[in-house]
Amino acid sequence: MSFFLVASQILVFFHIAFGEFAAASLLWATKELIYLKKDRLIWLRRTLWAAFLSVMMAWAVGGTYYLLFYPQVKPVIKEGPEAWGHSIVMESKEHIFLFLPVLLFLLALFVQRHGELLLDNPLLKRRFLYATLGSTVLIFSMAIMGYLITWSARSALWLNSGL
Amino acid sequence: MNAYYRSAFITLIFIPLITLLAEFSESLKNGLKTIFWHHWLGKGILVIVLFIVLSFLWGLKPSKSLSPEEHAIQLMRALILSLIGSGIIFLFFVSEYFELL
Repeated sequence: MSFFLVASQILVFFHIAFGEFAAASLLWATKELIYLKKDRLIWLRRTLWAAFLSVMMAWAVGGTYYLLFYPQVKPVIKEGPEAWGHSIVMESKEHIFLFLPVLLFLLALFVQRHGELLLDNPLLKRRFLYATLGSTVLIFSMAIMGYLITWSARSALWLNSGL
Repeated sequence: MNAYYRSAFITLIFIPLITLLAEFSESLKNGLKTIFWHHWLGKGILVIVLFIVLSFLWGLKPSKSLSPEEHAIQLMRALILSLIGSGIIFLFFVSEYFELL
């Protein structure tokens, strides 16, 4: 196997792994929020910081793949039967992703500094829950878009192989 | 916290703005490429720098502490800006692909 293939596979693996860890952390944070108690605030804090750090890592690893290896994949997709995989999905994914670090940092910092306010303020708790769920939806949309991009690449490769 | 909210709002508006502007203006896209090697890398660096610099500058100015209701409004504002911005970016690339623009 070529260095190109091994390195790109490893980067994509860790990009997905960090993304999934971030999604799992946010789902855990959602559970902590729904059943919020004073002695569980620390877990809400930990899960939100974990989600933020995982997203930063997914950004760094995925960004390395995108800048170094994706330029070789892009023409394959664009010349294949599912060119939308790059033109719509990848273009959207790479830009929509930029919202996540800002949003997650804000959520984690809020709990770090003012988490106790969530304990006795139902309106704030509900709004915070919406913000956490909205971030979770954005992360899962990244996973779906990632799948659609590999779909379009796979379609192009299958077509080229004559199958 | 107020400084971070304000910086986040500006940054969350900046993301769709720079994305669309770079698609409409080839010179902006090339400028980002020249300075940062790749336009997407440039956008990411600008997002980080903008958020950190604005947070620092607004943090220098003393501000009143927010009530729980105000925190709730600010958090929802951040979420709504992210969702609207995501929708704008997605619809832009859909319309560009189908040559609707």
